[in-house]
Amino acid sequence: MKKEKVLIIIPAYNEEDNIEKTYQSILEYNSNHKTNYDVLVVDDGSFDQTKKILTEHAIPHISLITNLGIGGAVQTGYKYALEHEYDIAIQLDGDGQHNTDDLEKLIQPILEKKADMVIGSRFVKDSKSQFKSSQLRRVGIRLISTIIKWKTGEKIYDTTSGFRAINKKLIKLFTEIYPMEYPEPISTVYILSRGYKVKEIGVRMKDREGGKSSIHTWKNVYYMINVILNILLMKRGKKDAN
Amino acid sequence: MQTNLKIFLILFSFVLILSILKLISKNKLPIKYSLFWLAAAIVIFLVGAFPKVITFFTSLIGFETSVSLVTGIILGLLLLITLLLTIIISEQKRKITLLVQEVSMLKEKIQK
Repeated sequence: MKKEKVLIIIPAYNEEDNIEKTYQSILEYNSNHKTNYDVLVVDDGSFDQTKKILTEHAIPHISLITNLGIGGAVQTGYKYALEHEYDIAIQLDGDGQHNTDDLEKLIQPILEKKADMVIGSRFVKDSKSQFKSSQLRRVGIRLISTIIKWKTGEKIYDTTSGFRAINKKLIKLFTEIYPMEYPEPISTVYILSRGYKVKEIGVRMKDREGGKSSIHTWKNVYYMINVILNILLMKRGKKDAN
Repeated sequence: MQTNLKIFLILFSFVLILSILKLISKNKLPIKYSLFWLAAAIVIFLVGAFPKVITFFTSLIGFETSVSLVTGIILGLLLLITLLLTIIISEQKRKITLLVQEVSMLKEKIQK
C-alpha cells in the first residue's frame, strides 16, 4: 500500500504569538507517530511579526501579498496541495485551539475510505473538549446545525469547526469553488448536497492561547445572516461524488 | 408637466449623452458599461419629450403628480445602475482573489 501524502494547512492572520508553537507541535507529532506530514502556513497578509517568524524558523509558508480572509487563505493551501499531489489536506487553525494529538483520529476515516471529509468536533459524544464556546455562540451553532439537517438530511453538530480533513477529490473541488467568507458551514453543505460523505470525530479544543479573537456582537449577527442565507439559497447540486 | 421641466429634462439628457460619448471616445468608458448609461439618458429624454405618456402612467401607478413619477423613474434607474455596479465589483473581487493567490504562490516558488 502506498503511503498517503498529507498536507497540514494552517491559515494564519496575525498569529505571531502562536504560530511557532503550533508548528513545533506538528513536528513533535511527526516524530512521535513516525509520520511525515508536511506543513504549509498560509500567512493571510499579516501585519505583525508572523511573516518574520515564519521565515526565521524556516517554516514552509506562502505569504499572501494582501489579506484575503480565511476562505481565500485556506483555498490557497488547497491549490498548493493539488499542485503537489497531496492525498489528504488538513486545515488546522494557527491559534493553538486545535490539538495535534487528534490528527490521527481525523485522518483515519479518510484512509479507510469511510468519508470524504472529517470534521474535528466539540459536540459529538466522544469529544473530551473542555472548551465548548460561549452560550450564545452554541445557540448559533445549533441553529445552523438544524438548518443543515433540514436542507441536506444530515446532522452536523460542530458546524463551525476549522479543524477538518479532506481527501483528494475534495481538494480538487475546493480549488475550483470555495466560499470566501465563513467557509466551514457553507462548504460542508455544498459537498453534502452533492453526495459526499462527511464524518464528525470528537476532538479536544482549547480556548485561544494568545492573540485576540476577532469576534464582535454585530459580526456574529452578520455571520448568522450570511451563513443561513447562503445555506438556504444554495442550489441542490447534482450528485457528483463517487 | 411644466414646460420648464420638459426643457430641462431634454437638455439634461443631451448633456448626459454627450458626456458619455465624449468619455467613450477618450477611452475612459468602455462600450459595455456605457450602454446602461445611454439607456438611462434616453429614458430621461423620452420623459421630457413625451410628457403625455408620463401623465398616463402617473394616474395608472397612483402617483400624485407627474413630477414625482419623473423623480421615481430616475431613482429606479439609479438603483439599477448601482445593482449592476455591485455585480461588477463582485466579479472583480473574485478575479483579484485569484490573482493574489497565484502571485503569492509564484512568489513562494521564486524565493525557494
